[in-house]
Amino acid sequence: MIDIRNIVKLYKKQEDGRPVEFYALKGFSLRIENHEFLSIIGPSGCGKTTLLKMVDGLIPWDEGEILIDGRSVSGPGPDRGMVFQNFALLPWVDVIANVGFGLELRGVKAEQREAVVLEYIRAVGLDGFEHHYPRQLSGGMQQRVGLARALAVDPKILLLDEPFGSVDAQTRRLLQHDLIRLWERSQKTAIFVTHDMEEAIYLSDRVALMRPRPGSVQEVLKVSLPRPRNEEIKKEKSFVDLKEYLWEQLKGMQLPKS
Amino acid sequence: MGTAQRDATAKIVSGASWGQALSRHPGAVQILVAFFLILCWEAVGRTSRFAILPPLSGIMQGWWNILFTRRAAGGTIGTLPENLLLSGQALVAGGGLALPSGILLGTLMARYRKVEYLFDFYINAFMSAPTAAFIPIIVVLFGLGFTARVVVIFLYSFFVVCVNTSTGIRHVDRSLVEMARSFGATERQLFWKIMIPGAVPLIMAGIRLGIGRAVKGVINAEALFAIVGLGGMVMLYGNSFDMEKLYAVIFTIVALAYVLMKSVHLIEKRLTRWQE
Repeated sequence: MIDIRNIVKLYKKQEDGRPVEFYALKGFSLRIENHEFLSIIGPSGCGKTTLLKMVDGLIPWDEGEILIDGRSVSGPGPDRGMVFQNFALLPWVDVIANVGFGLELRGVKAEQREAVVLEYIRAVGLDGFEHHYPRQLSGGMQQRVGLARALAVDPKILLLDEPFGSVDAQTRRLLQHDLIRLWERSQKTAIFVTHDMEEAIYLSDRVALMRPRPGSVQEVLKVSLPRPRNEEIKKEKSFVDLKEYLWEQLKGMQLPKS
Repeated sequence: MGTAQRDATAKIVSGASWGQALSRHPGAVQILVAFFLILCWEAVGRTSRFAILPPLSGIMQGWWNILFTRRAAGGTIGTLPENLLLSGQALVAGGGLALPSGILLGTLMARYRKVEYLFDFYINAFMSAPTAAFIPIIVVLFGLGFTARVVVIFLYSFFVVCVNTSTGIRHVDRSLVEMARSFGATERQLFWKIMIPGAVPLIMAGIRLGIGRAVKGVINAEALFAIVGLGGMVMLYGNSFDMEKLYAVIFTIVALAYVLMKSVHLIEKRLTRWQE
C-alpha cells in the first residue's frame, strides 16, 4: 500500500526581484491499495507530476510522509518504475539497450538481461524494432520503449507521468488499450497522472481529482466498471456520467493567471 | 521544324541534362571547379610578370625540389619530409597533452562547482585572447626549442577542448539524468552512462577545433621563433622570395590540416550517428 500523508511542498521563486513563496502542494493525502490502478487528474500546474515524482523519490518535500508498505520513501528504489511524459530515452543506443537500461544500472549482465528485454519488447509490440534508434521511432513507439523499460525491472509499482500526453489521438487509444491489457495481466499497483478525463476513467479503479494551488485532493471517485475492459465501456451510461461529473468539477478550476 | 529551332531545342535539352548530371554528382562539380581553378592559375602564372604567382607546374617542380634539397637562399633547412616529421612530432606532443587534459579539466569543471569557480574566468579569458601574444613570454620561459613549441601548441588547442567538454557535460538533457536517477543510477553510473555519452557530440567538436588550432599553433611557433619544421620553411622560402618552394610548403600545410580535420570529422560522424 502507498500511503501519502499530508504532503506540503513550498516553492520559492523570484517575482519582480522579490522572493515569493507559494505552496505547490498543501495537505495532500491519498492511499493507494496494492494492485490498484489509480489515476490522478487535475488542471495543468496543479502539482500532479510533482507528487508522482515525490512517490518515485526524485523530488523532496517539506512536510508530511510517503510510506510504501510502511517504509518511508527517501529516494528512488527498485520497487518503483517510472514512465516519463517526454519518454526520456537514451538517443545514443538502440531499443534493446534502452529497454535494458534499468537492469543495466542494477548490474545485470548483458547476456542475462537479453531474454527479459526481448520478452518485454515483444509484450509492448515492438518486435522487429530491436535495433532501431529512438529517432527512428514514432512518438507512440518511443513511449512503448519507455513502458517496456519500466516493466523490465519488474517493479511492484508503476508510476506513469502523462505517458500518452504527447502522442496523437489514435495512437493514444492504442497505447491505452495495450497498457490496460499489460496491467490486467501483471496486477501491479499503478499511479497514472493525466489531464484526460476519458483516459483516467477508462484505465482506473479510482480517480483522484486534484485542485490547484495549493495542490491537494478534492475528491476520489470510484470507477465501478468491470474488467477486463474494452473500448465499448466508453459508451456505457455510468462511464459517460462520470466523465460529465469530472468535467463539471474541472471546469470550475481555472488556474489563477500567473 | 527549321534547323535553327531544332538546335535551340537541343541546347535546352543538353543544358538540362548537364544540370541534372551536376546535381546528381556533386563530387564531379568539385573536380570540375578545381580543374578550372588550376587552369586559371597556370595561365595567370605563365603570363604574369610577377613572381608572386608562379605557375602550378613551377610549384610542382619546387615541391619535387624540397623533397630532397636542404639549401635555401637565406640559409639551410631540412627537406620537406624531415620538417614534416619535426612539425608532426611537436603536433603530436602538444595535441597529445592538450586534448586529454582539456577533456579532464572540462569534466572536473562541469562536475565540481569549486573547480569551475577557480578556472572559469581564466579559461574563457585565454580562449578569447590571441595566443600569439603569449609567444614572447613562452620563449623567455622555455627557450626556442621543442618544449617551447609544444607549449605554444598546447595553449592554442587546450582551452577550446576544455570549454566544449564542460559545456557538453553541463548541457546534457536533464530529463535523462532524472530518468537514470529514477532507475537507481549511482553518481558514477550517471557520469559514465549519461553525462559522457550525452556530451560526446560537443567533446568531438572541441577535439576537431582543438586540432585545427594546434596546426595553427605549430606553424606560428615555427615561423615566429623556431625556424624549423613546416613553419620554418615558410619563413625561410618566404624571406628569400623563393615562391615556387613557398607555395609548395603552403600547399603541404593546407593538405595536412585538411587530412587531419577530415579524419577527426569521420570519427566524429561515426560516434554521433545517433544524432542525425
